[in-house]
Amino acid sequence: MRVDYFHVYNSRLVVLQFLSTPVRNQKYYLPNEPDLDTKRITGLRIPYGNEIPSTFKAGETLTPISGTQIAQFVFTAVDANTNTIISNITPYTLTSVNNNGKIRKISNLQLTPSKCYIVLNDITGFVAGTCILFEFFYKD
Amino acid sequence: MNQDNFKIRRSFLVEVNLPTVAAGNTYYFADIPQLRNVYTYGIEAVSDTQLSKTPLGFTVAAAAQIKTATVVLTEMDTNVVYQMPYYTLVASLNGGYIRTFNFLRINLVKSYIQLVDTGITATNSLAFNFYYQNQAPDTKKKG
Repeated sequence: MRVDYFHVYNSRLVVLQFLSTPVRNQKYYLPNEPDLDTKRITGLRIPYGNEIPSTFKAGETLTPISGTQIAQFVFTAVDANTNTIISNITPYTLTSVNNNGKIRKISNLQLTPSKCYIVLNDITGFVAGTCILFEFFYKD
Repeated sequence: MNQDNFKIRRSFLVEVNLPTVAAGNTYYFADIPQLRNVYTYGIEAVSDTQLSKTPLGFTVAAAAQIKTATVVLTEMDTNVVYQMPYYTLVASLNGGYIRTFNFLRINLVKSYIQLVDTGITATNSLAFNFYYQNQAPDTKKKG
């Protein structure tokens, strides 16, 4: 029996929240996460919908994207030297619930979250307050 | 490469537009400089379930219609993958596994989509995540 091994050493949830209704074809960068800048990223997952409660961030009510909206943007990951490592990957690929529970493994890449961004190809349903969550898995 | 140990090193989204649709039609991949002379070890195809529109703004083919498409991949001038059903490459339809390849040096401009039936709406696009590395694989690990 094959088992997909993915070891969680450390993880951090990064929240990209739209402050206003977003625009199609514009880059929206992930927030600065200095603690991740020097880490080797081993996996990346985008939870959405019912996976994350709207009240998970104390004092705020967040609106995670829906299962339909997960197909409406692409994600690009950049390293500290501004090399594009992952270009326009479909976020659906990075969801676990749609991929038999798998967490998509990353090859120990030193990504810089604040240089990574999403681009919306379709803005339907995206409003101020909508959030896209990124779960970065890493090794110290 | 072991599908269970698949890791993203580099990836690039590639789209192929279908301006008109007919059984037997072929649609070649465009030249992409970033994918010249790289070693492709994984390819993942998507339908509108995974991606509603491409970065160029084209609607992605409906999930119910992707079964009408096949994929031909060429190394140099040899078709190393011939008429693979597009469905085979959609990870979420295959247990979440990204289809792995043996570090192919794909000649994109000689690779193409071939339709076996109508169904996909004209002007829709098909799209792929190409997973690759720039350096030659460790020959001890290849395969």
